[in-house]
Amino acid sequence: MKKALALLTLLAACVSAPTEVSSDRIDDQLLGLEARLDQERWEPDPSRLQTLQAQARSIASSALLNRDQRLRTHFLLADLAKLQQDRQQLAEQHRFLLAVGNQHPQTLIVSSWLDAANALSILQGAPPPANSHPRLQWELGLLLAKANRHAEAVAAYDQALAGLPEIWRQKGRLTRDTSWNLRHTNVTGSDLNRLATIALPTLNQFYLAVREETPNATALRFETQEPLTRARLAEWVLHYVAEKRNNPDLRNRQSRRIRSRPNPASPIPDVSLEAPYFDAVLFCVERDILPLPDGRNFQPDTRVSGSEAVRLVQRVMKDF
Amino acid sequence: MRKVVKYFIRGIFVIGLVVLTTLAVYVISWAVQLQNAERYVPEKTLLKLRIPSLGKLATEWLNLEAADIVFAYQNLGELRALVRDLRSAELATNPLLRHIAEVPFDFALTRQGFLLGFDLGWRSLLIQPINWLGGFVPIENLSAVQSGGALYFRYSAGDSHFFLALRTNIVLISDSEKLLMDVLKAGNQTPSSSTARSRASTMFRQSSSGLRLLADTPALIQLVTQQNPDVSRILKNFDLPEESLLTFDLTNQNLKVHLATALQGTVPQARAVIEYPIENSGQFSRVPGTATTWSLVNVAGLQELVDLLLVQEPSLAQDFQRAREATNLLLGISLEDLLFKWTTGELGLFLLPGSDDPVILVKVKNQTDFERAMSALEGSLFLSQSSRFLVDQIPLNQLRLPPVFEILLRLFKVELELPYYTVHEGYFYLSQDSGNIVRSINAILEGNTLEKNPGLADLVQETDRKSRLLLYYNIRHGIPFFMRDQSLLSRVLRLYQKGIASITLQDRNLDITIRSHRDRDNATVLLPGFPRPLQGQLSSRLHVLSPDGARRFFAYVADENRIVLDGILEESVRTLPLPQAKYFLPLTTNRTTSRLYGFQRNAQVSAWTLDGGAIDGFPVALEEGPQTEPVMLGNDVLIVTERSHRAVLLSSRGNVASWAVQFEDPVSYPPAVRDGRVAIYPRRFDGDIYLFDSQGKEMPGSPLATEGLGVASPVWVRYQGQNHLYFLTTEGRIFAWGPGAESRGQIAWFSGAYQAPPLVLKGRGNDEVLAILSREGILTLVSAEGGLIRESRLEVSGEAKLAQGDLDGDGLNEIVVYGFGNRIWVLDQNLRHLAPQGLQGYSEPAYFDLNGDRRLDLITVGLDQQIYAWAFPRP
Repeated sequence: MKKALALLTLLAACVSAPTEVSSDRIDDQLLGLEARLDQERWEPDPSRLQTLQAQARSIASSALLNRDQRLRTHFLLADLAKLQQDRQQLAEQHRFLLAVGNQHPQTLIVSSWLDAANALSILQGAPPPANSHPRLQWELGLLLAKANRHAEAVAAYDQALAGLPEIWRQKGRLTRDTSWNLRHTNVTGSDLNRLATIALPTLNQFYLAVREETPNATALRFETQEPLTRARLAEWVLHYVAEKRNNPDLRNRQSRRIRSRPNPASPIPDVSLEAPYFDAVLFCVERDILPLPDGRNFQPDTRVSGSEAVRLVQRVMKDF
Repeated sequence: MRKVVKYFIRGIFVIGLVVLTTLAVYVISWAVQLQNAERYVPEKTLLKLRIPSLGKLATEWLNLEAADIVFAYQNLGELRALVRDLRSAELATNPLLRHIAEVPFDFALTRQGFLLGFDLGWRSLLIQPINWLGGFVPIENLSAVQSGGALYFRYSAGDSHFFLALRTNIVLISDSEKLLMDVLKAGNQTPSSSTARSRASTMFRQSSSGLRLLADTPALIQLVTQQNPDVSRILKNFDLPEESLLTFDLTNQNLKVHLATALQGTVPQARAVIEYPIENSGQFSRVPGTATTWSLVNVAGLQELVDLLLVQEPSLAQDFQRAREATNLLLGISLEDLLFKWTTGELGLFLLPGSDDPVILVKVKNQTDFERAMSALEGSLFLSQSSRFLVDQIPLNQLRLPPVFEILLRLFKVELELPYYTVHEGYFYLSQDSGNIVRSINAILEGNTLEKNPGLADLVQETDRKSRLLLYYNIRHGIPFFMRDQSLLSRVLRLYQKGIASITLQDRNLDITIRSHRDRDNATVLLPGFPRPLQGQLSSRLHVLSPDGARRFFAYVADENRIVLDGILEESVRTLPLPQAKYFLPLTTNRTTSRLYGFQRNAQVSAWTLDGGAIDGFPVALEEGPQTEPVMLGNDVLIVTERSHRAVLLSSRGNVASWAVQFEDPVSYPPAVRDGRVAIYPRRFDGDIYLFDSQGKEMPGSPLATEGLGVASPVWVRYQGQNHLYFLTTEGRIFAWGPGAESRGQIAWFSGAYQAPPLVLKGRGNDEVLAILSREGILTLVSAEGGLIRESRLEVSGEAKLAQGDLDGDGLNEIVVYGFGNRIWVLDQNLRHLAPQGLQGYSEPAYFDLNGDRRLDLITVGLDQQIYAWAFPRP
């Protein structure tokens, strides 16, 4: 009995001893974890995600988290669960977040992840100031892009990137630029729509996408696995315009003009007068269809993304 | 002869003496008759305003941004023209005029009309003769009236009549003859001032450098407390006089509004509160400097305050009684011992950035009583030994609050569940968030308190430490209740971001003071009512058109099939059909738009009046459509066709005339037009620029041979008083030609790739300057000689474009960078950002003064298809 009392006394002393915790240290730890997750999310490695999760769980178990820290910790765990595709864990973290508040941006984001059918309306209905939270805007951009509302998606991405860490601007650029390229296009349901989702298409993919849209497209014979480059895109443009305008003269008009000069030389240093795509490149540059990236050179072998190709195809078909 | 001279001199002397004597008599009689303007101020008014200086009003106050807000108010539209004239008056520059205009005046508004009373002081010496001349004053539309023994003047302007009376040094002007007669009569009967019936009226008569307003107290209280029923309820226990004095002292950076009135308690509890002796609050040195808001209640002792609250809240009284009983039962201590004995009644509540959990601050009056109360709590179920922590060396306790605390906290609309507390230097800190308590105490230890915050030092220093109520606010974090309505006062107060509102009460005199300060950063604001949706998908530039200055609407092509005219002030949307729309061109001269042109892809051109009426001669079917956006050339429209590359002139009557020239290559950019001269650039490597007069005749020296590939058409630049032509290539070379088409060669070469058309700006000197933007985001200002003025790097993509508008009203256009995303940069000609975070928007901006503050606002459409209108601060 005496031993039991002594044990109880010891336990009571342990419990009542002041607990040494630093609020600032928790903030520092959270910042570190968030930064590591931002590095990790673009090419996630399962083992590193698990390590992050364990560290986040240890913070979550701390008794002295303030409201902001609780939100950040459980959102971090939810973010990890999403990357690990662990829906059960996601739902659990959602419950924690709801307990802190149901109108916080982090809670709304996780709600949208769990309720895909209403995700867009959940994020669009976020009240101020939650609606200006950078991460919420990013998630909204993703949903808008998925709904082919690319112009609105860019608006959301741009607002998000102004507030998110630098890594998002570097890694999220492609996502944002895809919507930027597609902002004026209406590609729903067509072959072009499929092309838009390909980062760097091949000539064959490009041919398959535009064959329905382009008169006499077969004449180009693009059925190869070669990459789609700026030069190849320029060739398609000139071919399309010459066919559409029924003006074969356009096909070599530029080279004839240059060759008629006393000392004929290409005005674009990296596209020679003898190159098979010389006329196409000059046509596109002078008509302001494709720019000179450095002001002088065309960079003919630079690969073109699917969304850039779709944007250009639709513009050319509208203007000519 | 000598006699004649002698008599002449004597005569002159006598005449001089007579004149001097007359003048002396005149001056003495004038001095004796000097009056106080107060005697002519009507007794019963809706509003009385005293302005200490007419000159200061014209040169300083009317130029304040607060004045912009006041005069933008729609009911004051008639005064805006007067304000504009006063702002441009010579008073600001002429010291003599300024001295003459140092005249105080009163403005009174009554149910009969308004009355203006000027005290001219010594200046009236010069104008008194007008009274004697009476009806002989030769001013058109001015006539003298003699009525009831009083002489006054009537001035007619159209249907309006104004009445003017001169009384020695006082000039009275009214729009009501009866009102003028009444005040003249009252002024004659009561030589000294009217009743000194209230403190406010007395203070109104004292001199002050501020602008003073005698306002109706009940209306003012209603205005200030309409969002806060608790305050209204408490005020029912007090008697307030009919009138209160409001004093305004303001600059663009600082504002002080002071309200003085008297206060009497109607119930004993209210009188006890009024008479309670208040000590200086120590919270100024205990609230962290980073606090976003802070409320201080130091009205009276906690017991007196609770007693007063219970007068108006019977339900609260029942709760309170239950709490009293529960305290005795659960803690074995009386409520007085638990709560009232150790507190002084000084309660504070503040918020820290990034947290919604407030910190409550209470001064501990007596440490022994406090410890007794806490030990009673500790011995109960409310505080267990296991709820003690040490965070950053600061001891924290966690407790479940007894019901009585909840009742008190409800007054602050605060709910706490297991909050933390600590005591530091005689103050009790309580918060749901332990981190907030730790941050607060660390801030005190580091000396980072509100009174030591450099950005607030002035505001805090001037605030009375014996304030009964105090609110420190920063509208970036939250708008206080008294600024949430749309009244003019609230709108003016919202100009200033942070401030302290305080209430002091001494000898039954109540003083409410709001001191606020404005930071210049981030002062760009989205106008009320924006963003507003477009009526479809934007397919052209957005224009703001005004046919007559009063009506105004947004005009644009929507969904490539119609022109939308969307009323800005009135809710009216009209559409004009424009199937297969290609270009939309409003004809605007001197900011007034007279007609709209619409170009279709099938080469048809339509034209309408702004009311949508047809114009003779239109529509016109062209042989082929325009290659690029048409431009105005005088009253005609210049079009360059898309297939044959010809220049075609379309007259205002719909006649089409083709110029003789035909270009070999397409013209992708609109021709550059200035002073009847036209430059057209068919874009190709090493191409030519063609110069024409307004009749289409090619000018001597044309065509001009170019090198490289131009980014767009060349631009006209004013240099040494003449128009020169400048041409920017994709690789950053700038070529120039003089007024006679003589080549000045390559005048500059800037590194980078260029895609955006250059911008021509009116610089500080006589010459214009160029702004060019590289694809890498380097914005460069280039002088007309080709020298680099300054450059800045922007976060943009290669698709960014440049535009301009004078947005801060300094006479120099700002550079607007747009089209690279849903963000717009605005920079002045020092390349300083006017909106450092960028503005939401995507389309080429339109510029129009929508809010009536005499500065252009920037209007743009975002990628979310909403219209945004941004107003900018003055430089």
